[in-house]
Amino acid sequence: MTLDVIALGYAAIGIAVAIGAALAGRRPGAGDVLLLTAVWPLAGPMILFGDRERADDHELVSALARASTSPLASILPDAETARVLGARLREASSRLTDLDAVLARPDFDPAAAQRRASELTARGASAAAATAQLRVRTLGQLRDLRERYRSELDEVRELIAQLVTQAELVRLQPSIAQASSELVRELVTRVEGLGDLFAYQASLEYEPAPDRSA
Amino acid sequence: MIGAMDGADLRAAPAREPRSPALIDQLLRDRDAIVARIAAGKDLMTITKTMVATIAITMAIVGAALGSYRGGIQIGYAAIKLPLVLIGTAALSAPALTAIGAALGRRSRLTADLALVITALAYGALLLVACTPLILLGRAVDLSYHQMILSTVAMFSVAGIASLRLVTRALSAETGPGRGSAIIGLCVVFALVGGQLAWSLRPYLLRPRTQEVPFLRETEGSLFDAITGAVRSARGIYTRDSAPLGD
Amino acid sequence: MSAISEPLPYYPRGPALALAALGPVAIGAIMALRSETAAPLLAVPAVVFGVVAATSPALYIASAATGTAPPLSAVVRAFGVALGAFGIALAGLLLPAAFLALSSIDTVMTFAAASAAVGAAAFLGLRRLAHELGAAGKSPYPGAAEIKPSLTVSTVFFVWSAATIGIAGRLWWDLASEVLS
Repeated sequence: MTLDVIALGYAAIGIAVAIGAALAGRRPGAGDVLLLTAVWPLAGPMILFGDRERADDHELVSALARASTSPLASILPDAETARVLGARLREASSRLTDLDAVLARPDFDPAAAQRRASELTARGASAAAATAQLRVRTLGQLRDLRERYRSELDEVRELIAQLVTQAELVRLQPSIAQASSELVRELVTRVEGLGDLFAYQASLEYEPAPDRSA
Repeated sequence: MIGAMDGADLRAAPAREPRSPALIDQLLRDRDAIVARIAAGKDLMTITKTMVATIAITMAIVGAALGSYRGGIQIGYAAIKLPLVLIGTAALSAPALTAIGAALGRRSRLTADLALVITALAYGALLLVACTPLILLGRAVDLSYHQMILSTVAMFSVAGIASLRLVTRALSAETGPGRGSAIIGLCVVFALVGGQLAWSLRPYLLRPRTQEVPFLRETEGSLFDAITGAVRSARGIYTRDSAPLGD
Repeated sequence: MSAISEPLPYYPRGPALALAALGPVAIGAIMALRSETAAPLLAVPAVVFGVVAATSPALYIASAATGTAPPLSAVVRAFGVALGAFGIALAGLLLPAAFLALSSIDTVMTFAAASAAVGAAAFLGLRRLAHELGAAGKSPYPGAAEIKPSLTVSTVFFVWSAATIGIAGRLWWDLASEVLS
């Protein structure tokens, strides 16, 4: 197969991807169509998936990497600690995503579970009602857990953003570097504190089932 | 004045897309910032467009410089072909980074990986365009054809290593499996595809005494056919009575 | 809550399995374009999935007989994840393979490019399978002891992998010889 036939086939796929993007409601402009024709393996995913993929788990390590080139370097955690902290932050983000996915399921709706428990109680099915009430309690704990993850991650992200800003300020005014140590300490403590949330979640997962022998 | 300030005035202005020249300048001066931006998934489409355009323009300049060794129409031919080689290779090879990593359990993000690869290549292309005075110097001091070839290979090697370093540095911020294998896989795929595409679109650097300047050489086989042919020739196994006379 | 503690394979399983189904068809299409016959479109997927389907029960039986098998459901899940890994890897290698195969004159290059793509994807899939089975062995049943890595576990997996690769390789060679000659 000659190169020009391959090139024509390649361009044809690019045009097909552009048509697909238009049909999917992405409305590519003239520049985007040209880009798709030329480099559809690169531009296609960008246009189809947009900038939706984010990775908050990289923010901490990237922020520390940037700050390490400023006068803040002496008060930052070392590379290995940064990796561990980054992994912990990523784990927390992943667990929040899991919780969002689980709690979005119809069978995990606390209101529906409460209604079911009330129905069973009204019918006099006390054992089943007790199990249903336990389910309501567990779902409530899951929602609380999710809110705690969300709140902790929001605070960590704000501290990361502040660290990046502080690194730029310190470049202009190196004398304030030591005063930023409290910020770094707070950030590290917050990320380390996510371990307590993991332990709390583990305690929820391994709660023993109720005794139904009675 | 206070009464005129309502909630609409107090809303933060929406973040503006970064401008292309600023992105290119940031790529040269603060690669950590670009990598952080890509890792956070910000402005990936703008970055991709800017870097593709950067590669197209810079490699056209490098191609023109290489073509100027022979001069004439070869300047234009090489200026057209060299960007096609790099952009085509990037387009065909970049998805391998995400695919291999994801298969091994790396938490991959396709769009960020694609933006990272094209950004790394744009950085290498910028380094190459910084080397064009050296290419022109080679012509000015009448470096021999083979010396020119070797110099060009050296410059491209330096640029390639710089691009690879950028990718490796970006991925080193990750934890978890699959990073090393993904980078090695990307390098292997890039070398194979880039070699074949460059071979298919040759020539770029021609001897000054070359009379007929083709846009593309006759297709005699792939790069690997040429390599196996050279190995056979080195072992004394020939497929023709004699080689054609040189230009 | 098992729904939360279930480990993620880092990619959506449905699309990955779809890629695993379509990838070999695409490789077959590349070979069909070069050979100008349609046989590879069916033959390539048949070789890939036929061999996996035929040999995978043997892995479970051998593992169970030697006391090193996780639960059947975990093994099935591990195979699903590994197939998804194969599909994703092959999807990323498809474009380079297509270009290398179609831009060369010699059909040997077509065979080499297609083999390299399928072989590399299969190797990555096997690596992922080994990892998933190992992870499943860490908590096989509630209250059961961990299945620790041992010479027996490694030997069973290695022998099974070698046999699977050998069978698939021979069938692949026969297919290529017939189609690309």
